Amino acid sequence: MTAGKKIEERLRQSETKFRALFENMTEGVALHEVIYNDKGRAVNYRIVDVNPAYETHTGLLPAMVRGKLATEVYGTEAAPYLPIWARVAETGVPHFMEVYFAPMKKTFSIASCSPGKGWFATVFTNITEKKRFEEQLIQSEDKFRSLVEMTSDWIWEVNEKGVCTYSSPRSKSLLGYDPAELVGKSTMDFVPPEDRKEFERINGEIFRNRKPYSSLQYRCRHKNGTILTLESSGMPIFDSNGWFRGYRGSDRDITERKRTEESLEKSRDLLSRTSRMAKIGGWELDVTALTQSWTEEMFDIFEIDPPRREPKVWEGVDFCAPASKPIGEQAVRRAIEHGEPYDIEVEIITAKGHRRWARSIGRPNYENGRVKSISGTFQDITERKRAEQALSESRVQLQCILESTADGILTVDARGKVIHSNRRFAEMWHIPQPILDTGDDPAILTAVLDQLKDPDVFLRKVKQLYASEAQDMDILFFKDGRIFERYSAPLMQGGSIAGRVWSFRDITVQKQTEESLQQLNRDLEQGVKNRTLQFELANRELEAFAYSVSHDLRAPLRSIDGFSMAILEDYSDKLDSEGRDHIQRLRRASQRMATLIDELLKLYRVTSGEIHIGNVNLSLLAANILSELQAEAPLRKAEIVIAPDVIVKADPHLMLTVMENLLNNAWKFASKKKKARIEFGVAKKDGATVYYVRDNGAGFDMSFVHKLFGVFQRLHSMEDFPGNGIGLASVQRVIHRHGGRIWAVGKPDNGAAFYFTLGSGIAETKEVSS
Amino acid sequence: MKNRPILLVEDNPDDVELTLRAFKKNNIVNPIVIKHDGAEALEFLLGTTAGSALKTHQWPAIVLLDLKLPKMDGLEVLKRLRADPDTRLLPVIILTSSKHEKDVIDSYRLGANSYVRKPVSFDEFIEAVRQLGLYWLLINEPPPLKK
Repeated sequence: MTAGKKIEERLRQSETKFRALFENMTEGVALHEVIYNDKGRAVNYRIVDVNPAYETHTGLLPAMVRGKLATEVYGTEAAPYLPIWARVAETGVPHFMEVYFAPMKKTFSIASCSPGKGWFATVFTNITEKKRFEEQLIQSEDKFRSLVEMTSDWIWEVNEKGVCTYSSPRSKSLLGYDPAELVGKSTMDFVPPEDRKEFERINGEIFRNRKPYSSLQYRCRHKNGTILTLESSGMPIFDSNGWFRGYRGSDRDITERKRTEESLEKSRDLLSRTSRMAKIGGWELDVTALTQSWTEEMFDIFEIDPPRREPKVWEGVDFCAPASKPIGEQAVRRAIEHGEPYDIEVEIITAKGHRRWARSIGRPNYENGRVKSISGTFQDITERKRAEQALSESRVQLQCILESTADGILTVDARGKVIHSNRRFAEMWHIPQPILDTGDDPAILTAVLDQLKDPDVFLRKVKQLYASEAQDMDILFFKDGRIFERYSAPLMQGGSIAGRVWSFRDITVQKQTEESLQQLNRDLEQGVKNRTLQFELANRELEAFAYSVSHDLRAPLRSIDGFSMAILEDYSDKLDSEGRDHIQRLRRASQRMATLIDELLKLYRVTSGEIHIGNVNLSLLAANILSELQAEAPLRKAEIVIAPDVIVKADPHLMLTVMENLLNNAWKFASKKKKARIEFGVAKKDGATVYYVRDNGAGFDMSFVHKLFGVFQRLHSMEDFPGNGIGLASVQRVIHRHGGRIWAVGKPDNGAAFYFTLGSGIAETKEVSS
Repeated sequence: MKNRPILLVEDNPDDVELTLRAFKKNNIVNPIVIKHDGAEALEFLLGTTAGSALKTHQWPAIVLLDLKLPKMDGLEVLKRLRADPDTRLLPVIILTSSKHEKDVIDSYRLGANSYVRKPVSFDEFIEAVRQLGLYWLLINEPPPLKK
């Protein structure tokens, strides 16, 4: 092949390649030749060649345009864009433009270049559709933007990490931040610290779920520091590959709404608590729909637990106790049918079976002249009802009391009107029923006045009392002899005088009894005086008797003894031994009788003298007496036991008699014992102090114990143990006079014990001997 | 003293007899004037008649005065004697059956010089009279009385 051939071949091959490209390009391609006039100025251009896609973009058949002038093809006076193409063809500088080609009413993107001087090629695409889309997009974007900017909601976008990528300008007024300040920040940055944990949890959940959400409320800090409540809704964003790219959404400031809601909630709560306290329920009955709604308190009153939301229309009435049911039923029915309001009190039986009283008030609500609903309140008035009942009961009780009393009672109000009078009042004052019925106190007063002995005094007193607050008592004397005690007190109500209460008691019998009692007392006093006188006389006589005994009884005894002795002395030689013995017996008898008389007198003195109480040391007395006895009989040996420091309150002189007698006896009756023992001691028995004198001597038989303290009573023979039978009688008298008790315990040959107490209150302390 | 009489005021004849016997037994030889009641005794001592001690100035050495006497009792007699300056110092010994405390006190209060209770036993009575005589008639220095 020659070089020429080779070049030719290569050219042909290259042309083939281009041609293939040319033929297969999706863009339209057209090759043009610029046509110049003789002055070398471009005036038109010819379409030399076009590719098949040309038709697609222009709608013109390639065969129809090849070789034709532009003005012919496009039907224009001047060749379109000639200056531009001419410059391209001249300079070889490519050109690009998007242009609306009016003759075809299409928009093209056209790139042009020059393959050689005076030539140019255009590569173009019909972008009419695309252009329209673009415009529509811009338009809709504008619309959207203005919407976004006009809406009160804040529109935002965050990426998959929650970082803000877009914020609508509303953020400025809502949060105080420019959108630019928000972009790149996380919502979390604006949540108050105390809410962050919770917000993080919810936010995390949303981002995990990647689902749309709405009405999420959260709190957010405004730039100025105030806390807002926002309500947020959002949609997840996914890209064309389905990857999650974040959220887009809008937030709304509901701070105010929230505040309103809260205060509404508060006032609702207050209302609810108030009604709970007042035990007032509210209800509404829709007459047309025949549905009913209750407040919670209604359920509480009926003790329906738990409360149901849909009470039946007649449910409230159904709770009525049998006696109240017709009342409730009729009230509700008339309200429904005739629009009659009602206010009734009914007894109900709660769901738990408790009986309660309730006040039900119903008011019809009209719509277009028809009863649309009835609403009302329902209040538990059990307490009030109970109080009323108690009041009424106590009123009845009071009435009964007033009627059953023996006193006549009249209550008059401040204006002189009778509030109340009992039956007894009318009876006592003989008030005729017609006058009583007038209820006029002055009228009643007039009617009764002339029954009194001194009506003027009574009338004056009554007038005086009506003008005062005084309580007052008086005695009224009646002409018929009756005597009343009149008592009057102001009727106080709430600290002020509301009237006056008068009560009258017939004390006629009492007065008479009093009178006779006084007489009786006077008689009695006289009687006592007389008796005292008699007693004094008797005492004096006794004294005289005792004196005469001591004086006069002794004289004959002296004579007997004296003359017996005279006989023995003067006539001894004329008497045999028996005669002399008789005389001796006479003498002994008379002397013994003298001793008896003396002892009797002693006993009398013990009984009758005055008692002088003092401290008496019984231990000391016992020791003295026993040591004297020991001194009189120095040869006797006896064990003496004396409890120390036994001190009593008693008459010292009389206690000496007691101790002397008891110890003498002990000494005497223990005399025949080899190991005699005599003891004085003190013991407690039944809480009382008991003193005792005990010996281990002859003792006595308990069957004769009752004789022990009798006058002249002796349990031993004179030969064995001499004595006169007065000693223990004297001791007993002394102990009795001290309010004490004496008793003895003994056993023959085994000793005797004498116990005595000295009463706490000495019986005759104040006795004065005559 | 041995010659001056002893005035015994005693209404009981037995007692008079026994007292005289006791004097005799004790060898008391003074004359014994016996008066049976208080009035007689007063008359004897302070009477206005010629034989009274006041007139004769023959005052008894001692007066043995019983308390229980007819007409005027011993205490009354004693009171009169002590009220009179002539007999104010006259030794008066109450000789009585009474042991009544009131009598003892009243006697001494009215100015008795001694109070002796007659014992029932005659032996004791003799002894008492013996000691009385010994003391009042021999040992005791009598008060000077108006002659």
